Amino acid sequence: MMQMRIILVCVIVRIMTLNQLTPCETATVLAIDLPFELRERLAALGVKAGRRLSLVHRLGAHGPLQVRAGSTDFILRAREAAGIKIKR
Amino acid sequence: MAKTAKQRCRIAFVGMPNTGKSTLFGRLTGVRAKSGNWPGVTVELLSAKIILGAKTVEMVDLPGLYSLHGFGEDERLVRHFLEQESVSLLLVVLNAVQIERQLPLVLQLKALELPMLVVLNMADEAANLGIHFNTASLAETLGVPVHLVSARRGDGLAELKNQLANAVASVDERFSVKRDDLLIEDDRLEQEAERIVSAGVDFPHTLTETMTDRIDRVLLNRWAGLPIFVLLMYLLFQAVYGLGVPLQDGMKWQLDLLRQSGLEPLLVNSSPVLKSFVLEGLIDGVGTVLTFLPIILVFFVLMGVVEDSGYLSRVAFLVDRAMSKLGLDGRAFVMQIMGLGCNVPALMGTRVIRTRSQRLLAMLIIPFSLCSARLQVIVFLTAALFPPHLAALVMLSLYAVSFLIAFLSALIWKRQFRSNETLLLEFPPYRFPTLRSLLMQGWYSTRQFLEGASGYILGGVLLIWLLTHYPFDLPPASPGTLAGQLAQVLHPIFAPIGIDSILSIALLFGFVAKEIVLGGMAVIYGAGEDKLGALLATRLDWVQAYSFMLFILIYTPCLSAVATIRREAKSWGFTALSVVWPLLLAWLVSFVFYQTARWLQG
Repeated sequence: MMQMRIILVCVIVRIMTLNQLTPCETATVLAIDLPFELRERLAALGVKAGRRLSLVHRLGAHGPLQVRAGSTDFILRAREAAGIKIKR
Repeated sequence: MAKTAKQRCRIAFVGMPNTGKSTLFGRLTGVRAKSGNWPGVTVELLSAKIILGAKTVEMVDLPGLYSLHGFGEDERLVRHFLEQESVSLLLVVLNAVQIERQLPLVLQLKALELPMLVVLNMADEAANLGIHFNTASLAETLGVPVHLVSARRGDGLAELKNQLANAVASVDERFSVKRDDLLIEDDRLEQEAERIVSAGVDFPHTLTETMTDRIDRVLLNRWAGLPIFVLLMYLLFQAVYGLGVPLQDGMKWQLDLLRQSGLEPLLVNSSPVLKSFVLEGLIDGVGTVLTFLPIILVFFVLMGVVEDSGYLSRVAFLVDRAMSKLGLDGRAFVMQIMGLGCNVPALMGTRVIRTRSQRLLAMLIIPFSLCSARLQVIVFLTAALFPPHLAALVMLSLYAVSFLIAFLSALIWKRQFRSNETLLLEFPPYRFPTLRSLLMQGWYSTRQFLEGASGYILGGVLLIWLLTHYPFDLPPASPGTLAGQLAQVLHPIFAPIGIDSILSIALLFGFVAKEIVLGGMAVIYGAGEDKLGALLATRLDWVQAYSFMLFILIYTPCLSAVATIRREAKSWGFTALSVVWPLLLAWLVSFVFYQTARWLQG
């Protein structure tokens, strides 16, 4: 059911993941497809479905990302960023 | 919530990491906890008793937590504290700039129904960003008093103290929390938090590009970032010597004065053993270590600036990709940097790493970081045995070896400590330390260094004096003395790496604390700081000296570090590994270096 919904949303708005964002772009979080503990920690940093995020900076194509959620900045690796689904 | 019997009032400081709890704690109690612009610096509970109004109140600084319901070690610790220990009042510290996302924690805490007071810290930064607070409205909707302060600059602290005194005047008991109360639904709190923020906080529509963003554009540049980091570290060490060495000369001069015009005339008629004990044991041994205090002080102050500035998170960001190839992440590298001061806080700082195996791997490599105690010995030997134009290069090469050995160890052991740790690290804005905080930091670190090491140094140096001088009728450190006999036993181990067997006695004591090595050498050769250098130059050639320095750099961590490793890892097996592995490596590296150099020399 959840899968279906995601596919459906995929068709309507072009879904991408956080690691595909280019610096200075802003996007809205759609879903977070990561282990529970990591989801909890992201939530504490202000990252959850519906929230706006922007990519501040990244080091190369596979390097870590600096992300801004509200007035909080944090860094994470591209691998984890690939688990955060967003729409521009 | 359960009441407990009448007890002394206790206020617990709670809040997210890097909100300035420790800074506020220090401001209110005068007790300085280690703080830095890096999440998770407080890893030990610190408590202090102060007088508030007419009462003596105990204040406890708890480590930062993101959520009462989290699974990290710090979160468990805070939960355990609230369940097992009782508190009279929770002082909840928030970073005012991030109130939006920190409020859910306040609501979680509020649901515990403990008396509480909310402090919005970093009011200065919020004002700079154009964020305005209606504290009266926030207090009303939250149902608890709200206070706006800047702990760093000291704004609003007098009022806060008054309010705390009022709050505790009416509280006479402590409360503890039931486990069930600690686990309530979060979604409802989330919505409530949003409602409160929108009513009481006025955010500007778009956050303007800050100073931090502008600095980051340079410091985080993909190509320039790392070279700038290396340059900054280089400048830091230049500054340490530039400022520290003149101060050190002053210290030497004072010690000489004490010796020549104070002690020597006083001891003219006393027994030779007492005279040797005071002059060669106390003054030569302990004095030689003391002359390094200024360098240590300057080093800790400058390291404090780096830690407070927020730059270390950026360093973690820059090196993360390289470190991931070693089975670690950027944070482990930052701990290596912190370890340049002292390995012990760096070892404790690995608590921010959540996966046990990765944390152990980080703890295995931190002791290779060239700490300030080893630095003393290395600076001394370098100055004594190498011409000035080579000295800087020699120092640099030893730092390089320190990092190389650490990385090599990680590469070798990463398969045994495999993990799938993720990196998720908050990026604080740059903060520039105030003069007051700098001086406090320097004073605090130096005092800690002295308190921690003075017992070891004194005891170790005196024991070495006894070993090298007993029996008293023989010449000091000659083959017949205790030290001479011990040296004979150690000879087969140290001869292949070119270390004079009598010097190996100093190494033996260096296991207790590396600070003893230099004092021990002074006692062994019966020469104070001024003469020791020249004397060493006649006894050792540069190959032997470098081999000795390599050995000092790599071999077994000091006793406090080993105790910390044991406490943090909770495993004797791992502790044994962290003692044996460096020892083995030190011998091997020195052996390869010494034999190759001798072979090249023909």
